[in-house]
Amino acid sequence: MNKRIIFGVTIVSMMALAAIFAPLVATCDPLAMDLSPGARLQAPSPEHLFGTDNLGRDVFSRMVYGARISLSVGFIAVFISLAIGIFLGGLSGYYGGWVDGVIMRLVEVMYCFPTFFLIMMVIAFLGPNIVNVMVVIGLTSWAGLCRLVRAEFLTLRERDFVHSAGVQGVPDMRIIFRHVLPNAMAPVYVSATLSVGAAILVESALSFLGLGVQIPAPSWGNILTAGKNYIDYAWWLTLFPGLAILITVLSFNLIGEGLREILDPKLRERR
Amino acid sequence: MNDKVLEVKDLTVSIDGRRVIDKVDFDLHPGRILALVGESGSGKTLTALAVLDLLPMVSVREKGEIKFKGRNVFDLETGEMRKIRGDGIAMVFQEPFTALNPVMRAGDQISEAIVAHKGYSRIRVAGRVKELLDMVKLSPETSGRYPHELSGGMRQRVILAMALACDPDVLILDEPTTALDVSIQKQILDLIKQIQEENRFAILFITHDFSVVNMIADEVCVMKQGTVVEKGTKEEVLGRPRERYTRRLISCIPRLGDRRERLPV
Repeated sequence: MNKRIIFGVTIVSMMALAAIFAPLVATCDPLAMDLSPGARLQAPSPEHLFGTDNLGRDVFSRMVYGARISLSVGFIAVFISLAIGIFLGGLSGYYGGWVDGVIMRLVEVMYCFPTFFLIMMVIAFLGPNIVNVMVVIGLTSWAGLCRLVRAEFLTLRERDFVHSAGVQGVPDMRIIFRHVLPNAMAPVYVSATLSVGAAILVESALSFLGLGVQIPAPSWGNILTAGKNYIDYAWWLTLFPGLAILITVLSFNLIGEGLREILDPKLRERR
Repeated sequence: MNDKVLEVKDLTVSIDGRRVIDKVDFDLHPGRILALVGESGSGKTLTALAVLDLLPMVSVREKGEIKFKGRNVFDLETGEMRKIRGDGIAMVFQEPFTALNPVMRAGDQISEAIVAHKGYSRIRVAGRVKELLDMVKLSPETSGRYPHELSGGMRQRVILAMALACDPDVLILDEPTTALDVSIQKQILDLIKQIQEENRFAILFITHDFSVVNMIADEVCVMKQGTVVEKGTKEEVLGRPRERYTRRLISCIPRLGDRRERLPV
């Protein structure tokens, strides 16, 4: 087995388990404030593993709950972009002609937008909440996948077994989903895994700017924001959420790289 | 004997203004094998695709008709034609290595056409797949195998089973043995002949190889540059070829002990 994948999957599954069982893992209530003089901005200690923030809340517990947000945003946003990307890319590559023309122009339009600002603008209109964030990230990140799927379909559609299915009278949709798509999935898996990391980064950035998850609900991004004012004397407020984002995104990228190595025969030979 | 299951009449197709199929005429009868012979580019495969109304987009059908059981395939709507493809007329492609989907089990691929046309229950489909595998002399376990686990000859049998799945009236075989080595070729040809004798369907057999024609065909149709230059029973065409082109093609068959400077064609 591939070392990168083992590392990535271990980290990601630890994060995922912590997120799923957050009430069991968290040592304190993530929203419970303690404003008594000694309780605010405590340094990490066995009692508060990652210390406490300016309102006396336990950072470790907040991060565990924050993992729920970050991971679910990552997965759901990518799921949405996969659905759109595969559907449009598939139509585009399989039918070609004017269908392809229209969809590819749409993709080019998507590429023209500075995505992050587009997301910020839409969120500003729709109001910042977690569902909007997921949907908007998903709706703005499918263009690359769409091109990828289209390219795969273009080569696959000329293969004999696809012709042969057509000759047998198999309906188009069945050809697309049973014959072409399964053969096009290898690069899609890789790209999707990398996109999960990217989506988590976008969510963190949005939350950091106050456009994502709203306080007091915790997310890695807004814990960072709260911590940045105290960075001089309470390093734990920024270090831990920053590390969590870094490690999670890194893990997803490692899984993606590892998958590519396994699935791409050209890379396999070089190893 | 005289009922025609497929009639091709006066078929003319052009690409970019050039005639690639020119007034092609032939009939298929149940239980008979018609070999369509000719060099590369003579329009054999294109003729076969025309039968299925699957001519490439760039080509223009100028005139002619193809009647399957009395109905002109060019007049049928897309949905009706789809019902005929795989069910009434089935086709086997040349390359056993690329005609199977690499990520689908052999059994599932065989059942594709049955599912598309017959609406059988799951159990009935599985039974039919088993029957088909038996027909092409493969073990029932082959059904769970992926194409990369099968040899070339086995793959070609799976492909044959796919084509036979719905009991077609017409089977088009496009160079079914060209990619196989000679001993496997013989096995597959014998198998095709045997299945055909049991099921009495018509075969349109496309090949460039006269030794294959000699083994399998009842009638022969020789094509050159889109036109049929000679047509008749195997005995007539191979025994007393009237056309110079046919004679030259036949003399291209390598024989043991022959030493020739140049091929006549």
